[in-house]
Amino acid sequence: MSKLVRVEVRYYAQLRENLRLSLEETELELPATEDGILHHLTVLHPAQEKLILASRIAVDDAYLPRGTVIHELTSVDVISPVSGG
Amino acid sequence: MKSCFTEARLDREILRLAVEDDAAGALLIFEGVVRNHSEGHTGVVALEYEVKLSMADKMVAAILEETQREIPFLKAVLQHRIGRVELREPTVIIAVSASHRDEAYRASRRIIDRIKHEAPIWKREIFADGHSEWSLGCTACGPGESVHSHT
Repeated sequence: MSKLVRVEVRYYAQLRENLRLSLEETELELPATEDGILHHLTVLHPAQEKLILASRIAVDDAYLPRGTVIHELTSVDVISPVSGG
Repeated sequence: MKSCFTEARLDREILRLAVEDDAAGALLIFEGVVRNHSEGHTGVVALEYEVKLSMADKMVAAILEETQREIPFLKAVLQHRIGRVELREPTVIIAVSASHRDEAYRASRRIIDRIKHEAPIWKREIFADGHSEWSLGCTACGPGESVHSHT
Protein backbone atom coordinates (compact mmCIF):
# COMPACT_ATOMS: atom_id res chain seq x y z
CA MET A 1 0.00 0.00 0.00
CA SER A 2 1.48 3.32 -1.01
CA LYS A 3 1.79 6.36 1.25
CA LEU A 4 3.00 9.93 0.96
CA VAL A 5 5.84 10.89 3.30
CA ARG A 6 7.83 14.06 3.81
CA VAL A 7 11.45 13.50 2.85
CA GLU A 8 14.47 15.76 3.30
CA VAL A 9 16.60 15.99 0.14
CA ARG A 10 20.21 17.20 0.27
CA TYR A 11 22.18 18.41 -2.76
CA TYR A 12 25.92 18.84 -3.26
CA ALA A 13 28.48 20.46 -5.54
CA GLN A 14 27.27 21.45 -9.02
CA LEU A 15 23.70 20.38 -8.42
CA ARG A 16 23.51 22.45 -5.23
CA GLU A 17 24.92 25.46 -7.05
CA ASN A 18 22.66 25.08 -10.08
CA LEU A 19 19.59 24.71 -7.88
CA ARG A 20 20.80 27.32 -5.37
CA LEU A 21 19.55 24.88 -2.82
CA SER A 22 21.38 22.55 -0.44
CA LEU A 23 18.31 21.17 1.28
CA GLU A 24 14.62 20.88 0.55
CA GLU A 25 11.63 18.93 1.77
CA THR A 26 9.32 17.16 -0.59
CA GLU A 27 6.45 14.70 -0.41
CA LEU A 28 7.43 11.37 -1.89
CA GLU A 29 5.28 8.37 -2.58
CA LEU A 30 6.57 5.18 -0.94
CA PRO A 31 7.47 2.48 -1.68
CA ALA A 32 9.97 3.92 -4.13
CA THR A 33 13.11 3.00 -6.03
CA GLU A 34 16.14 5.10 -6.87
CA ASP A 35 14.79 5.71 -10.37
CA GLY A 36 11.45 6.78 -8.94
CA ILE A 37 13.05 9.22 -6.52
CA LEU A 38 15.24 10.73 -9.26
CA HIS A 39 12.25 11.07 -11.56
CA HIS A 40 10.32 12.83 -8.78
CA LEU A 41 13.21 15.30 -8.42
CA THR A 42 13.28 16.00 -12.16
CA VAL A 43 9.62 16.98 -11.95
CA LEU A 44 10.52 19.45 -9.20
CA HIS A 45 13.55 20.75 -11.08
CA PRO A 46 13.09 20.16 -14.82
CA ALA A 47 15.98 22.45 -15.77
CA GLN A 48 18.36 20.07 -14.00
CA GLU A 49 16.92 16.87 -15.44
CA LYS A 50 20.13 15.73 -17.13
CA LEU A 51 22.27 16.17 -14.02
CA ILE A 52 19.67 14.67 -11.70
CA LEU A 53 19.27 11.59 -13.89
CA ALA A 54 23.07 11.16 -13.92
CA SER A 55 23.03 11.16 -10.10
CA ARG A 56 22.74 8.40 -7.52
CA ILE A 57 20.61 8.39 -4.41
CA ALA A 58 22.28 7.67 -1.07
CA VAL A 59 20.44 6.76 2.12
CA ASP A 60 22.23 6.58 5.46
CA ASP A 61 25.62 7.16 3.80
CA ALA A 62 25.30 4.31 1.30
CA TYR A 63 24.16 4.23 -2.31
CA LEU A 64 20.69 2.85 -2.71
CA PRO A 65 21.20 -0.29 -4.81
CA ARG A 66 19.55 -0.07 -8.20
CA GLY A 67 16.12 -1.65 -8.21
CA THR A 68 15.88 -1.78 -4.43
CA VAL A 69 12.39 -0.91 -3.24
CA ILE A 70 12.46 1.28 -0.16
CA HIS A 71 9.46 1.38 2.16
CA GLU A 72 10.62 3.84 4.84
CA LEU A 73 12.53 7.04 4.24
CA THR A 74 13.16 10.32 6.03
CA SER A 75 16.08 11.78 4.07
CA VAL A 76 18.14 11.20 0.94
CA ASP A 77 21.38 12.56 -0.47
CA VAL A 78 21.57 13.25 -4.19
CA ILE A 79 25.07 12.30 -5.29
CA SER A 80 25.76 13.93 -8.65
CA PRO A 81 28.61 12.43 -10.74
CA VAL A 82 31.70 12.17 -8.56
CA SER A 83 35.25 13.18 -9.46
CA GLY A 84 37.62 12.42 -6.62
CA GLY A 85 41.32 11.75 -6.84
CA MET B 1 37.74 6.69 13.20
CA LYS B 2 40.03 9.48 12.03
CA SER B 3 38.99 10.96 8.69
CA CYS B 4 41.33 10.45 5.76
CA PHE B 5 40.19 13.79 4.32
CA THR B 6 42.10 16.89 5.30
CA GLU B 7 42.55 20.55 4.43
CA ALA B 8 46.26 20.26 5.28
CA ARG B 9 48.98 19.60 2.72
CA LEU B 10 49.56 15.86 2.37
CA ASP B 11 52.77 14.31 3.72
CA ARG B 12 53.89 11.18 1.88
CA GLU B 13 56.48 10.27 4.53
CA ILE B 14 53.81 9.90 7.20
CA LEU B 15 51.85 7.59 4.92
CA ARG B 16 54.97 5.65 4.00
CA LEU B 17 55.75 5.03 7.66
CA ALA B 18 52.18 3.88 8.26
CA VAL B 19 52.50 1.00 5.79
CA GLU B 20 56.05 -0.14 6.55
CA ASP B 21 56.07 -3.83 7.36
CA ASP B 22 58.83 -6.39 7.88
CA ALA B 23 57.06 -8.76 5.50
CA ALA B 24 56.85 -6.18 2.71
CA GLY B 25 58.92 -6.67 -0.42
CA ALA B 26 57.21 -3.75 -2.14
CA LEU B 27 56.05 -0.38 -0.91
CA LEU B 28 54.21 1.71 -3.46
CA ILE B 29 53.15 5.33 -3.12
CA PHE B 30 50.70 6.82 -5.61
CA GLU B 31 50.21 10.58 -5.72
CA GLY B 32 47.50 12.30 -7.66
CA VAL B 33 48.58 15.90 -8.28
CA VAL B 34 47.08 19.07 -9.72
CA ARG B 35 47.92 19.48 -13.42
CA ASN B 36 47.64 22.61 -15.51
CA HIS B 37 45.18 21.30 -18.09
CA SER B 38 41.88 19.51 -18.30
CA GLU B 39 39.83 18.12 -21.16
CA GLY B 40 41.85 20.05 -23.73
CA HIS B 41 41.73 23.31 -21.78
CA THR B 42 44.92 24.82 -20.38
CA GLY B 43 45.32 27.31 -17.56
CA VAL B 44 44.17 25.26 -14.58
CA VAL B 45 45.80 26.82 -11.52
CA ALA B 46 44.09 24.90 -8.71
CA LEU B 47 41.46 22.35 -7.85
CA GLU B 48 38.83 22.64 -5.16
CA TYR B 49 37.36 19.54 -3.55
CA GLU B 50 34.03 19.10 -1.83
CA VAL B 51 33.43 15.88 0.12
CA LYS B 52 30.43 14.36 1.85
CA LEU B 53 32.63 13.35 4.74
CA SER B 54 30.57 10.83 6.70
CA MET B 55 29.80 8.79 3.60
CA ALA B 56 33.24 9.16 2.02
CA ASP B 57 35.08 7.95 5.13
CA LYS B 58 32.87 4.88 5.33
CA MET B 59 33.36 4.18 1.65
CA VAL B 60 37.14 4.52 1.82
CA ALA B 61 37.26 2.09 4.75
CA ALA B 62 35.08 -0.37 2.83
CA ILE B 63 37.16 0.00 -0.35
CA LEU B 64 40.40 -0.73 1.53
CA GLU B 65 38.84 -3.74 3.24
CA GLU B 66 37.29 -5.15 0.08
CA THR B 67 40.46 -4.61 -1.93
CA GLN B 68 42.50 -6.48 0.67
CA ARG B 69 40.11 -9.42 0.40
CA GLU B 70 40.64 -9.48 -3.38
CA ILE B 71 44.35 -8.63 -3.49
CA PRO B 72 46.46 -9.74 -0.52
CA PHE B 73 48.40 -6.59 0.33
CA LEU B 74 49.81 -6.04 3.82
CA LYS B 75 48.86 -2.46 4.64
CA ALA B 76 47.27 0.46 2.81
CA VAL B 77 46.46 4.01 3.82
CA LEU B 78 45.29 7.04 1.93
CA GLN B 79 44.74 10.70 2.45
CA HIS B 80 42.73 13.03 0.25
CA ARG B 81 42.53 16.80 0.27
CA ILE B 82 39.45 18.90 0.87
CA GLY B 83 39.19 22.50 -0.28
CA ARG B 84 41.60 24.31 -2.57
CA VAL B 85 44.76 22.54 -3.80
CA GLU B 86 47.32 24.46 -5.83
CA LEU B 87 49.12 23.42 -9.03
CA ARG B 88 51.62 20.52 -8.55
CA GLU B 89 50.39 19.81 -5.03
CA PRO B 90 49.15 16.31 -4.22
CA THR B 91 45.39 15.87 -4.04
CA VAL B 92 45.47 12.24 -2.93
CA ILE B 93 48.22 9.90 -1.74
CA ILE B 94 47.81 6.14 -1.46
CA ALA B 95 50.52 4.05 0.19
CA VAL B 96 50.42 0.26 -0.12
CA SER B 97 52.81 -2.38 1.12
CA ALA B 98 52.74 -5.97 -0.06
CA SER B 99 54.94 -9.03 -0.11
CA HIS B 100 55.39 -8.63 -3.87
CA ARG B 101 55.20 -5.75 -6.35
CA ASP B 102 52.34 -7.24 -8.32
CA GLU B 103 49.96 -7.06 -5.37
CA ALA B 104 51.14 -3.55 -4.49
CA TYR B 105 50.56 -2.23 -8.02
CA ARG B 106 47.20 -3.96 -8.43
CA ALA B 107 45.91 -2.90 -5.03
CA SER B 108 46.97 0.71 -5.48
CA ARG B 109 45.29 0.86 -8.90
CA ARG B 110 42.11 -0.77 -7.60
CA ILE B 111 41.91 1.61 -4.64
CA ILE B 112 42.36 4.81 -6.66
CA ASP B 113 39.97 3.65 -9.37
CA ARG B 114 37.25 2.88 -6.86
CA ILE B 115 37.80 6.13 -4.98
CA LYS B 116 37.46 8.09 -8.22
CA HIS B 117 34.36 6.22 -9.33
CA GLU B 118 32.48 5.74 -6.09
CA ALA B 119 33.39 8.09 -3.25
CA PRO B 120 31.22 11.21 -2.86
CA ILE B 121 33.96 13.65 -3.78
CA TRP B 122 33.48 16.51 -6.22
CA LYS B 123 36.21 18.48 -7.95
CA ARG B 124 36.05 22.00 -9.33
CA GLU B 125 38.76 23.17 -11.71
CA ILE B 126 39.89 26.75 -11.20
CA PHE B 127 41.42 28.54 -14.19
CA ALA B 128 43.92 31.39 -14.38
CA ASP B 129 41.28 33.80 -15.68
CA GLY B 130 39.25 33.22 -12.51
CA HIS B 131 36.45 31.06 -13.89
CA SER B 132 35.85 27.56 -12.58
CA GLU B 133 34.12 24.41 -13.76
CA TRP B 134 32.88 21.34 -11.95
CA SER B 135 34.39 18.13 -13.23
CA LEU B 136 31.72 15.58 -14.08
CA GLY B 137 32.95 12.04 -13.59
CA CYS B 138 36.28 10.31 -14.06
CA THR B 139 38.24 11.73 -17.01
CA ALA B 140 39.85 8.33 -17.65
CA CYS B 141 36.37 6.96 -18.38
CA GLY B 142 33.78 8.03 -20.89
CA PRO B 143 31.55 11.02 -20.12
CA GLY B 144 29.53 10.36 -16.99
CA GLU B 145 30.96 6.86 -16.64
CA SER B 146 31.48 6.19 -12.96
CA VAL B 147 29.68 4.49 -10.12
CA HIS B 148 26.65 6.00 -11.72
CA SER B 149 26.97 3.56 -14.57
CA HIS B 150 29.32 0.88 -13.23
CA THR B 151 27.21 -0.51 -10.44
